Amino acid sequence: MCVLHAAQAAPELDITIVSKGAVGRSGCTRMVQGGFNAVLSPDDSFELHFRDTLEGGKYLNDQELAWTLINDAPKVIHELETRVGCFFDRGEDGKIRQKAFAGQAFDRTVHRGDLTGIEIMSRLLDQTFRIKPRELGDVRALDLLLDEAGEVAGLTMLDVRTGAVAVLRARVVVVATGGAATMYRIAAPAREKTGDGVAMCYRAGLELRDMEMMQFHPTGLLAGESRLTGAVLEEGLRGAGAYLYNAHGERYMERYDPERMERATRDIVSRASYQEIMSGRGTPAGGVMIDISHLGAEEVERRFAGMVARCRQIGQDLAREPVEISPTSHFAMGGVVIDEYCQTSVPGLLVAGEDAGGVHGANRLGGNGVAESTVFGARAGDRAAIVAPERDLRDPDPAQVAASVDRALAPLQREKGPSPFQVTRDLKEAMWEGCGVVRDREGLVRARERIEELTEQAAQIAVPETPQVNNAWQETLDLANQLTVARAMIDSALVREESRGAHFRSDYSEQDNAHWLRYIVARRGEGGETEISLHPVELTRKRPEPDGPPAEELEREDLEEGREDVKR
Amino acid sequence: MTEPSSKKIRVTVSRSDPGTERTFLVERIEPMMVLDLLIAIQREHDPSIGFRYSCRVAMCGTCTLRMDGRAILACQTPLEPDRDKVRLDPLAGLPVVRDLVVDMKPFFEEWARVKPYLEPVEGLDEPARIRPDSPERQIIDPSLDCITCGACYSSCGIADHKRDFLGPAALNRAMLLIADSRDAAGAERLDAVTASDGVDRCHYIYGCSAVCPKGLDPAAAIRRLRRWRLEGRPR
Amino acid sequence: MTLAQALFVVALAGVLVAVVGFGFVMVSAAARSGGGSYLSTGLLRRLQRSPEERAEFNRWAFYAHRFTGFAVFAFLCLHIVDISLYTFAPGAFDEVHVLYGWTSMRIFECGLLFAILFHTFNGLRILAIDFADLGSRASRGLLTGAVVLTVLLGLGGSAVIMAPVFA
Repeated sequence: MCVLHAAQAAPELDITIVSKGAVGRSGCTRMVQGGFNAVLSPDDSFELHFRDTLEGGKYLNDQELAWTLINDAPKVIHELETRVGCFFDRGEDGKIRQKAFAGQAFDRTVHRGDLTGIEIMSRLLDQTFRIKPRELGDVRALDLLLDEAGEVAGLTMLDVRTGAVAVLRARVVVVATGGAATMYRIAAPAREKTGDGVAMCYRAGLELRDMEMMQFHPTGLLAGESRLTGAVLEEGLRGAGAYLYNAHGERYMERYDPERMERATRDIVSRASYQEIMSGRGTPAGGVMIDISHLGAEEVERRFAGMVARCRQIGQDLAREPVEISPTSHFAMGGVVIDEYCQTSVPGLLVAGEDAGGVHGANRLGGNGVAESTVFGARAGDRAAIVAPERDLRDPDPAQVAASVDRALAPLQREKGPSPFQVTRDLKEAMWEGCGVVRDREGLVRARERIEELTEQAAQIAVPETPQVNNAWQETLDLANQLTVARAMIDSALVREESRGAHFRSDYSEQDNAHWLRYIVARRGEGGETEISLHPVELTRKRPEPDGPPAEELEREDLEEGREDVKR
Repeated sequence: MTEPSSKKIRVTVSRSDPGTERTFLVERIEPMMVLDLLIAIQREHDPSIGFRYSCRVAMCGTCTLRMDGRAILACQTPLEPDRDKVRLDPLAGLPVVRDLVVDMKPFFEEWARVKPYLEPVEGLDEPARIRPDSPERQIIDPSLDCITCGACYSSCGIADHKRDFLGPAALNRAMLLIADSRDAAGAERLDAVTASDGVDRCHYIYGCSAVCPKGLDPAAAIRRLRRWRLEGRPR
Repeated sequence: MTLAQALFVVALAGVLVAVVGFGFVMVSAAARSGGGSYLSTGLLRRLQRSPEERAEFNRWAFYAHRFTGFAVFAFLCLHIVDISLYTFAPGAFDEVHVLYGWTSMRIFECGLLFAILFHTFNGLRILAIDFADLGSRASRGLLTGAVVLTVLLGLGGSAVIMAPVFA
């Protein structure tokens, strides 16, 4: 989307796509199931969508970013349909059909069957054959390079196929690598999503916000040791009336949200399932059951063909019997601090999508994810087209280049050390236990110590010496980024002593609007430690309802705290 | 579901660096996909084995390889419980980068040649009003879910990076755009796909339709294109 | 054996070598780039597994089609020459055509008959696929038909060709 817009606005630009996987085929947008939220109907309104988004995000959102998302979403749908060539499901009247999604007051989710992302991504990929940007597939970015003035000069990168390293000089860099949700034992995203962009920006000294906010999807498949474990069963199952049972056969949602039951938002259902499992009412494999067979086998097979096929692969029949599931880590709400034009505090550096924080606040609505990646991708492209011609190519600091390359090559040169696969496993375990669906101080501190240990181990990893397509080597580089992001997450989670959205502290189980309508910013300190600062959420457009804090109090806090404004 | 079993499976993997193949005895888990097998080899036996995957839910189309000669997605192909040996090869007809990793460039070069992107008709300023049961959607919808995994290309028998043939995936894409009333370049595309390196090179081997992991039928698309050449495009 | 006969035998041997060589090149190329459809225990495992795997028979039909096509073509090249002898050397024509009565030549002719029949019926099958818009399953049915016809007519024709030998 970004490339499309940049090329449209300024066709003379020299654009390079750097992707650590296959261009347009790796990452998570292709995996999007549910759909794309956009206000299209005259009966719907931006205000309603905005309210839903803030209610979902528990008012932690950057309201300007959220408003931008909502305002641009219909334009993007429009563009996808009339220029890019996507075709979304139609109603009987031939108009785009919008379906209901959890946590929304209006049926506004545009979709294509139960697999929407593949249509969007495939058609965008087709556009690259028209635009013909320079594509560096299977090339991973290692580090951002800044010049002496602290402005963007380019990046270092590594060709996964050949093992060669190179420097790419650029006038503008757009970071859009996706979040780091793979760092949990049970995780949904594609394997590329190891927080590379966020980690790169953090190392370059940028501010990260809301890092403690990690969304867990309530219905991830449990398939033993198989890699399929964690794959999401789509939200629509709950929407269509699926029941959730614990091992005793109780519909446990009665205890957590008797009104909305299984249709409560993702954070609530995930937490309920997690608590059932943790208090011993889960299945032996550590899960709960989802059952939709009461709709009738044929009906299920027709409406959820993709999901039935997914379960059949592991020998289970979603249409006729309950299937074992567990919460699965899914989406990072937090990320780099940006403005509405995707700009950061570093001139020339733009960040878009899951790498950026603030759009979704404390919890993302289903259907706002692909909306975010396309809306802000487009905006980053538009902005890049404006910024790039104004800037010249900078010279990167040679010492920085050398340090970055040395760090990348080190595991190849060591002869003995731990296996990266084992360390990754340990990380996933540590995060699941200590910084998972439900957190407390003790667990977080333990996870923090464990991360330190693993960071030390990761620095000793040795891998086979072949530089070409060396998965072990790549995993080591991923791991370094994951550990960086994990530390920022845990440090942020320790500070937020309340429960809000996706962040649930069993030792502070209430939402506390009086003190915690503030967002947490983490940045790298001089000595490498995490520096945490707190900033009040600017309620520029809408205040929490119904029981938000009185207005005067907020204003006073604003004055007291001051706000170290991000350079915009 | 995950009771421990000591069953092993004998895996033969063709490798590129020594130019030979290697056999591994891998512990079985239940359920087990071919991808799990590769990950187990990587973790327990040989960390240097080259293969690729991304989404592991049959969406990215990067883990395609051949199992006993048949092109499959490693992530969604279970190993049957009674199976005790399996052979894995890289995709056919594409240059091998390393071990099971191939270079998909030739595949996408063919894909690019059919102009795979929409050329919007003039005046397409609003999302087109098209009923889901309209004839064009009846043609398009069942054939739309291509994930460009290359399984059809590998199984084609004609398509090969050393030969001129657009191949099943690209022809299927072209068929979809020609059928789409929102697209203006249909005539041009029909000319391209019926040229000498187009539909006429197909011999109805049906390898493509037999292996497509998304259940598409590129052979039907090719038959349709051949018919449209004689009867004109559907409009 | 006359000179003309000797030349014909040498040319025929050349045709046979070319046909066998073509088959060899085709099979090895198929193993490399044809989706791995070479004969192996793996293929047998596959064919037993599911009906859709039997689409592989269409691939073998394709190989057989090419092979028989080339064999018939190569022989035709020679045959055009030996028939055209009639216009400028009727004596040589008669000498050469005595050879067609040899038993070994008759066996070769039977093979040729099978090749022509398969190529014809399979060609008609492919035309039918286009005209009747047949899918993988139906075309496999037609393939069975083509093979059965080839075998039946081939055996009948062979009986006629070989009859003088046993007479």
